[in-house]
Amino acid sequence: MSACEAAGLDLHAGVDARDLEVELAVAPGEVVALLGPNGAGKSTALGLVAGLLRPDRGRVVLDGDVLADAGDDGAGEGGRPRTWVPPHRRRTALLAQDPLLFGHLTALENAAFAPRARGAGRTDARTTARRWLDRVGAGDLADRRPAQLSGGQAQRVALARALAAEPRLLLLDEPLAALDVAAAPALRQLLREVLRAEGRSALLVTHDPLDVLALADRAVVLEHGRVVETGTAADVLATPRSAFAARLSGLTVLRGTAEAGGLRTDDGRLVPSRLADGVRPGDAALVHLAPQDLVPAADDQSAAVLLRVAGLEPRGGVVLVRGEDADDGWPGAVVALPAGRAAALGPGDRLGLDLGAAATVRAGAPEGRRGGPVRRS
Amino acid sequence: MSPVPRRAARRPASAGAELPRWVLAPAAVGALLVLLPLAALVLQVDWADLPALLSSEASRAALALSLRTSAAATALCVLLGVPMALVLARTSLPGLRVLRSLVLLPLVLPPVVGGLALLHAFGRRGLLGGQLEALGVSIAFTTAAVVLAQTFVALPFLVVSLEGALRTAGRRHEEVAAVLGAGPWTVLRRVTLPVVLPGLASGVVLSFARALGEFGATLTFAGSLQGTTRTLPLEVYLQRETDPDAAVALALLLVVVAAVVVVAVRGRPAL
Repeated sequence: MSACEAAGLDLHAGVDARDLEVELAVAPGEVVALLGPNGAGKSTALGLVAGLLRPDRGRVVLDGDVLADAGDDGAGEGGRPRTWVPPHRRRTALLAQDPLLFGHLTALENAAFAPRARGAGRTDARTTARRWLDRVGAGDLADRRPAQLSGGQAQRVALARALAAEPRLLLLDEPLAALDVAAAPALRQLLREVLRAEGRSALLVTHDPLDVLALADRAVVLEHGRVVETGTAADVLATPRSAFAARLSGLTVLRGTAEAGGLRTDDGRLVPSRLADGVRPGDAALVHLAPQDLVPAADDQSAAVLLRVAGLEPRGGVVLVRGEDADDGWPGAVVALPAGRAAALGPGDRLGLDLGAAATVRAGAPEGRRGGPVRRS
Repeated sequence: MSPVPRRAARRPASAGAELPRWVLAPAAVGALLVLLPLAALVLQVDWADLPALLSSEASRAALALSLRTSAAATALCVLLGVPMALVLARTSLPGLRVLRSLVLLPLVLPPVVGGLALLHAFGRRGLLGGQLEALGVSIAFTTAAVVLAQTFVALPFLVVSLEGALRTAGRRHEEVAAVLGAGPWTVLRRVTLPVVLPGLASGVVLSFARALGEFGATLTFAGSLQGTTRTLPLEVYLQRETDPDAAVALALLLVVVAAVVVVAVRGRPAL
């Protein structure tokens, strides 16, 4: 069927109408989190894989099967015909924020939908459906209609319905975003078991760092329709290199140039720190700081960071003080202050900060990739 | 996890902005304009003779013909209107906007004009009349012509009602079904149609009612032959001259049917 024999997903495609140019891979058994601000093209990327959207350029390959091929220039390459596999022959399954259960069918019939659609007999399909309902802890809901289910219950049934399709790749589009705080952790745990224990491949769109840590092996960050960062899930959250990942992590990311004494930020301040291995003076570099790494400076002029207060968030005994975003969209610094110290601050105030603990200057361009090639070929 | 009602509760009656009081006066006049003639008609009914009036041979023939043709026309509307609504709501063919407007034309066209148009298309000397005659088919002034005239005027009701339901339902359930492995026919049969069933039902009821009340196009295209093309509304019109009591009795029958239809589609999205 194709020259590409690699297992897993290989997506390398462009959609002009959405200004999307995406390149990512999901290895067999791997869960890849697709992160990015609203409108970055995450759901569009899922649509390309599911077959709900045709690419203008590029290819979608799953387990060696070419699902879509529009050539590199959109017109097909060297007379090669354009390939298109419709969604129902792709063997993927989609779980969205909205459970989208079929309202005229019971939970059991919903879960039996995919086996039935693939030609299984009524009895076999029901047996499969019941097994998956039990697996997601919704066995006792089998006879209920979707209108009689809570949000969390409906999403469990929707997960059972997706799994009963025995997809080669599970597409998860913010599956926990619509659940209330009581239901989300239980379903996250369930997803973790289903994905991790059974070695499933999944592409997970999410806004929640908890989802990334709990569910994903790797993370890919999309901004404005382009991949701006990839890495292991832990790395992307611990040492973010894109504005979106920085915001998601809650860390302060200082950008600048490495010097012998530390990092020279773009506004000319020196942040004293050790250079990481492989970082030479003159290289573009980043420093990642947790809120407790920063303390108020004695003097704003010599402070390592000058923050303009954007907002205050009480957190137990301390107050998180957020700085205003930079002009290019990067989040401002975040510092944890004792409640008493923060009481005098209001939006627009200036606050000089120094490093309270030694930090390590990390190498790497402010926007870039890490952790090996993105695309296996 | 206890089951939580997933539909928002009905909002409490608003105590907010009030209407100017004078609006009530023209509103009441409008309501009277509709209700008064109906009440007058009901008051005219000769209840004692009603069974006899309704069971006269002419009445029974007209009623039977009306029910048969309206049912056939409704079936034809479903057969043709469901695919039309699907094409209008789910495809992006060029010229679709123009087509939608044209399909709705019979809604606003005087029925007598529709009948004339049908005559010029399917009549003996019409556009297709010659070919049909060669095949031994003659439509004008037959029961088939009644069905065709009723379908012509009733079809837009079904198409509009169903297309609205399809657009409201959206495509997301269909997309999920397709990704789960359902081919286009399975998606249509197991997801799309069940989801829009209420819209389809109200479309069916409305087009049946429109077919039952059809007068102008039927008279022009099919004529008024007892037992063949003289439907209930035509019978009412004819009896009005010779036997006003019978006309009133038959009219009452049509009012009852209309009332049932209104109750059946009440609460559905407005056309």
